[in-house]
Amino acid sequence: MLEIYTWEVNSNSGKPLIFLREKGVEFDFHYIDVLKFEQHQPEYLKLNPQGTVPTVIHDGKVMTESTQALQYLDAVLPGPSFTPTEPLERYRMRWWATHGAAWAASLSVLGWHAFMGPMVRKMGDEKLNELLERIPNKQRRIAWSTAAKSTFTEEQLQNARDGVAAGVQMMESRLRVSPYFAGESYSIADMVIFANAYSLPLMHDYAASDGISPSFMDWLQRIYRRPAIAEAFKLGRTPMRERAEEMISRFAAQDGSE
Amino acid sequence: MIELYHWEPNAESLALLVCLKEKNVDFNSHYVDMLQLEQHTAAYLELSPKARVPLLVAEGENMSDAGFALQFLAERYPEPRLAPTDPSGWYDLQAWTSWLGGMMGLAADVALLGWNYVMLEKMPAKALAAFRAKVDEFPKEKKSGWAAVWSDAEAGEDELRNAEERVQQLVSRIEAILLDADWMIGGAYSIIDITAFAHLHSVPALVPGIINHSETPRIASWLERSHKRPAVADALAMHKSTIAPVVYAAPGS
Repeated sequence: MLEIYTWEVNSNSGKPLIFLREKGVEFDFHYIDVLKFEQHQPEYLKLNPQGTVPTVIHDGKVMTESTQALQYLDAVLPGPSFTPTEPLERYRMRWWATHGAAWAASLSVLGWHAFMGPMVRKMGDEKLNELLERIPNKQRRIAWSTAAKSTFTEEQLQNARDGVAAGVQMMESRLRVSPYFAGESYSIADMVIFANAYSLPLMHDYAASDGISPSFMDWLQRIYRRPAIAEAFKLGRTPMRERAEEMISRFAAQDGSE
Repeated sequence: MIELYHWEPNAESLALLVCLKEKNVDFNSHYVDMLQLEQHTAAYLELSPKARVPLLVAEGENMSDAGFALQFLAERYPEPRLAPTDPSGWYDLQAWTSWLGGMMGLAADVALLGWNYVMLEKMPAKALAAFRAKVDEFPKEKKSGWAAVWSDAEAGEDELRNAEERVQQLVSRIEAILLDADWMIGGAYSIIDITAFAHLHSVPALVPGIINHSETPRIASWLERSHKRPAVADALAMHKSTIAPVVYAAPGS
C-alpha cells in the first residue's frame, strides 16, 4: 500500500508526485489543500504531528522527510532507478537535493507575497486567524502568519530576489560542467530541484533566462520534455499547474522553430 | 588519502573523527582553529567557500556537509558496518541526520549554549575582544554560521531558554526510541549514534537538567556506552584548546 498525502506539484509537495510518475507506480493520492490549511487539521496531525506536507506511507511506514522518502521508495519499488550506485555520486545527489534547493526558502517568501498570501486572505481575517492559531509548532506559526499576511518589508523582498538569483547562479555553475546535478544521470536531486525551480523563467526572469542562465534553461527544458513531468502536473488543481503548462508549450514552440 | 579539516573534537568535527577511527580509515588531520577564525583565511576559503568546518576531502570532492560525508564513509567503507542494510533503516538514518544536523538544528542550539555557558567564562577578556573585533570586520554575508553565534553579545535569556527547550525536545525523542534498544536505529551502533553523541556529549555538563540518570536514564546510559568505545576515546583525546568546551563529563544522577 502506498499512500501520498500532499498538495500541488510544487516544492516539497511535488517531490513524491513527480517521482512516482517517473517510477510508474500507482498510489492513493490524498489531496491536502494547503490554501485551506488542511495540513494543520487534527485528522492530518494524527498522521504527521509536525503538520508538514507531504506525508508518505508505504506498508505502514510513515515518512515525513520528503527527499529521504524518495530514496527509500526508489530502493523498494519496481521501475527504473533514480539513485546512483557509486558512493561519491550518491554524496553529490544528497548534497544537491538539500543545498541545491536551499534558495527555495527565498522563493517561498516571494510566492507567498505574490500568490499564496492574496489567495488565503480571501477567506477573511477572522477565519485566517483561527486557522493560523491551530499550527502546532510555535516557530512555524510565526512564519506562516508572516507569510499569510504578507507583512514582508521591501528589504526582505529584495533579499529574497537576491537569494533566488544567487541560487540560479549556483545551479548554473554546476550544470555547466555536468548534465544533471548528481552527474551523468537524471536522479532524485533533479526531481527535488525541479519541483522548486519549474516556473522560475516565468515568475522570476530577472534570475533565470536564456541570457543569464543558459545551462540551467537547457536543463529545465530537458526535464520538461520527460513525459512523466507532464503527467505529474495533471494532478494539480491550482494556477501552479497552468504555469507549468505554459512552460511546456513555450518549450514545445521553441522545439518547433529549431 | 582522505584529508579531514576539523576543529576541536566536538559536534560535527567529532562525528567525522569518530567515524574514521571506527572504520580504521587512514586520514590526514588538519586542525582549523576556529577561535583564531582560521576558517576565514583565504587558503581555507579556497577549499570551503562557505567557511564550513569540518571538511572531508575524499576522491577529489570537498565534502562540506558532514551528515552526507558520514553517509559517504558508511557506504564507501562498509566494514565495520555503521549503517543499516535495509531501505527502511536508511530512511530513519537520513531523517535523523536531517533532524540533528546543520546550523538550523541541534548543533546550533548546543553551540549557543556552549558559547554562553562555558566559553564566555573561560575566554580571557583580551582574547574575546580580539575575536569580536575580527568578526566585526567581516562583510555582512560572512557573518553567518558560528561567526553569527560568536559575534553576538551574550544571548538573551529568552534565546537561551528557547535553545534549551529545543534540545530538551530532541532529547525526549531520543529517550523514547532508546526504550527497547541500546542504539538509536536498527538495533546496532551507527553513524546516527555517532552524530547524536557528538552533539549531545557536552549537554550533561552544559545543562545538567536536560540529561541525567534520573530523568533521562536511557540517554544517560547511551552516552556512557558511547564513551566506552575506543574510537570515541581516541577522538576525544585529540582535544587541544584550553578554552573551547572541555565537557566530557559523564552525566550525573
